Amino acid sequence: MTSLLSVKNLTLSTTLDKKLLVDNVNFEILEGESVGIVGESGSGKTLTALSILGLLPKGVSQDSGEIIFQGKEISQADKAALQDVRGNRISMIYQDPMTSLNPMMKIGRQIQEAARAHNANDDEANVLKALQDVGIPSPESCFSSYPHEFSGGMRQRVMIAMSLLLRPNLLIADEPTTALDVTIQRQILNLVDEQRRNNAMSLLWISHDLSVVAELVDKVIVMYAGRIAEIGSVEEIFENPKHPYTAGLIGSLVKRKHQQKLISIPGNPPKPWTVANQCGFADRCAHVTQECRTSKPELVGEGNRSFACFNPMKGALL
Amino acid sequence: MLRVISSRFRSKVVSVCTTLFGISVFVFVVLRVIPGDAITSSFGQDTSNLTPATIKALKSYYGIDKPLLLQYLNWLKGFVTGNLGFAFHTGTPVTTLTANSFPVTLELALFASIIGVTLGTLMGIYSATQPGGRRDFFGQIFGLFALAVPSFVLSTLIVAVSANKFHYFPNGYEYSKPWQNLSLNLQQMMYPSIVLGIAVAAPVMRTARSSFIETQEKDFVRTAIGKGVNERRVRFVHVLRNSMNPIVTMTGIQFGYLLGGAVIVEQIFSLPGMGRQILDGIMKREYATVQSSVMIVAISFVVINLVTDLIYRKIDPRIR
Repeated sequence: MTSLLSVKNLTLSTTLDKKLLVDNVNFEILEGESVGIVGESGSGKTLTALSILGLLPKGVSQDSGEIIFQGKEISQADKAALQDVRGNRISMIYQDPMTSLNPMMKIGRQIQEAARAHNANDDEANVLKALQDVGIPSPESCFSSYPHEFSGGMRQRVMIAMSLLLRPNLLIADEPTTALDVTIQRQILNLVDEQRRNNAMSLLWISHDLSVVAELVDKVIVMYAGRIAEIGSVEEIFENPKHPYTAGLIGSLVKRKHQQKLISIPGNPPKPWTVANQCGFADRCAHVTQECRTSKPELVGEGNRSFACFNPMKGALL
Repeated sequence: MLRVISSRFRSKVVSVCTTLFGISVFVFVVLRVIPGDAITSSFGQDTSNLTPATIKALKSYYGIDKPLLLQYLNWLKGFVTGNLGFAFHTGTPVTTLTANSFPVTLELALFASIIGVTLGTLMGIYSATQPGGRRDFFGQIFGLFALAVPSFVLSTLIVAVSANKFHYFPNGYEYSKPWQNLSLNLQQMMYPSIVLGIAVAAPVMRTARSSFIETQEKDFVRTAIGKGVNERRVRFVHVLRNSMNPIVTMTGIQFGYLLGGAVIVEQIFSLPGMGRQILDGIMKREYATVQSSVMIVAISFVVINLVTDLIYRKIDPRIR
């Protein structure tokens, strides 16, 4: 399989006081591959995703790094080139469906707008088909409704219909189920998975929930305090985690079978800029050594199986 | 649903009527509290030479010999039944005065608002594209300037420059109604509209700027950019429409002020509008003129408020 997107040495920081937010992130997504980024709030996973489409919020800027999509660097590209990629070849669905749609524009028009922006087929029939595909019960009435007339789950379906309309090569999903009820989460999860398979597209799914990611993706990227802690296939991550943080994440998953006490990782994640020259996990790690506090562990290993730890976990966890 | 609307409507009607009643009482009282009355304003220093009998006769002529409450009720009864009273110095009905002056003020307010809202909104957008940057700096300077420079300075400047340099003085002629001589009317309206338009543009610009800055940070704007929509469309379709409500509110307020008459500007450009009518009335203690004119202005304000509400509904589907 060929590479679809590769993020190289991505470093992000605050524009004003240059506080480090994302530190030297590298990963690759192959064509048709499904990749998950897992991490806590503030670990830099959302910023990493937003920077792919050049949608960084105000006050955050890209210090260095390349984003190569289909062989072309797009983070330094001109506006027209970026606009051509956005919504057309890379689409994104966002965390909060309640605020991600324009409240003053009818749903049909918002979807048509995505097509028009790329001179694609904006026929009503085409849009209705897209709405039907994501399980909207009555696409015709949805087409001429405003977002506030729908629930969060329905709005997220609309977002998915909109982002899939032009059959993108890559769908970025930034915690699209976090703001939804648990029962709805499951439906959206299945929907995205089904659509991904039908359209043979790549998926970058961002979540703080390792168990959600495990069901959807081939490869997991674990982020911690602005850095990648570990990359591996789902099986490798679950069966043989190398980074103590990954092991902690897996340990804290609820396992009903074993009826054991829920394990949590003590402490809180640090701000990335406070741990720029050491291992970010040092203060919460059971295996910490002097080295962890004085130098920064680099990612070691090959592209699809690597970790950043001086004292990796030995042996299988389960 | 219907009941909700009708109860909301009823409470609105009640609050409007209370406000208007309060204003009428206030104006009535203030007019009597300021020193002097119709007699002193007509006779000036000579008032002291009048005999008590003459004063009594004059008071009766001017209708100020009755108890205050009766005076008020008489005026109120007249106003409600459409009789706005008379300007006793000339004997002209206030209805006639207002029929002549209100259109002038309305036309001026319309032009000034169109200029002010267009200019203010565009300046606001221009500033908001670069908060804290160079564009914002120039926009803010404009806003401060337009707020700080008094209208008489700007008016005088315009009159002086156009009259001296270009020998152009449309306001030197007697005021022309639009249906008499449209071209002259528009020429006469141009300068005062610009002066008032700039005054309106300043608050509109500030409102538009902050509303724009707030809206362009919203998630749906990011969605639009993420869809590949171009920058101009994002700005004028997604951001502008969602920033409209505060701009409409500010426009309504400014338009209401303008309907109260721009005394100084009307004076400088010799336009016979509401401002002048009320000012004249105060100077001559024309009680009926002032009371009725102020009430008409107040009612216009209420009407504008209602129209603003309707515009909200038109713009925002969530409050339909």
